[in-house]
Amino acid sequence: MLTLFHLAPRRRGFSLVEAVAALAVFGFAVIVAATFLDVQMSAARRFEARADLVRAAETLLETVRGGVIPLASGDVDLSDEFQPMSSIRVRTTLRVTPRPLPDLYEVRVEARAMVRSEDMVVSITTQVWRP
Amino acid sequence: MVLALLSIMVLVAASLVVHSVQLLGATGRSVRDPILVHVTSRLRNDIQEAAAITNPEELWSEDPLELATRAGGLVRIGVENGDLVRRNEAPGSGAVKERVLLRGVTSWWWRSPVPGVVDLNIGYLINPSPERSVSRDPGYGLDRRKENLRFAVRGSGGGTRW
Repeated sequence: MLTLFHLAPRRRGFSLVEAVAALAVFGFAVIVAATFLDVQMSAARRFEARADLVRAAETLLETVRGGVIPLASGDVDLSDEFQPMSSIRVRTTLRVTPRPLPDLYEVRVEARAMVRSEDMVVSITTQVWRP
Repeated sequence: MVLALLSIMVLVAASLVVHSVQLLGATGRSVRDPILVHVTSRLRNDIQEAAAITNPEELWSEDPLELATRAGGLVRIGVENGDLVRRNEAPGSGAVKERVLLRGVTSWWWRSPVPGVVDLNIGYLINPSPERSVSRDPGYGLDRRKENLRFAVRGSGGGTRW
């Protein structure tokens, strides 16, 4: 007695359609994995850059508190005092606003850098007495 | 045609796997890196809370940094045998507490450019980035990193420091 199994022609290997379908699935998986990896790498770089900006802002604030630079608004060059860990160019700005009390000022320090074509800013606002 | 496509896909996939393994390795190694946040936090507290620097140096110095505390004690921070060591001398009794803040320190520099301000420059060893291969020999193939810090002494009070 012949069964269907015996009647069917024997198939060897994969057909072209199967191979292309497998390739498409494989390609999709590779693209997803590459995208995921790129996103993670970008996030790591942004995190590192942000840590640098926080350190730059803190350095500027300590510079102001220590009386190293005058209490005046403007861009501040911190290249001698601060070197970022990541390969970014940090710009630091100081904004000074008088408060109602005499000799009391509101100080806002800003550290800014371009990270992967994104403008990243970290700012700290505090109050400082003029010496 | 299909074979060529397949070959390209396999090459791309292999590159992805290699990068992923490198990243995984670097992540695993970075766990053993010193957690500098704790060190900088300790240094920040010590310097900002200090009443004065007892051995101010305008130029960069490798000597231990000595800080007088508001309570009358003394905090000495310096490098000994590759370790950044903090010694806290209690007022009165003279009892000294010793603590290692950071291991694998390659350089320690500090200065006080203006009175009441301390610049620190600490070099230390960390595991290399994913792109670099690592030797299994201890201490070989490690990266050097430098940390620059500036703190203002505030323990004395007054002026812009508060």
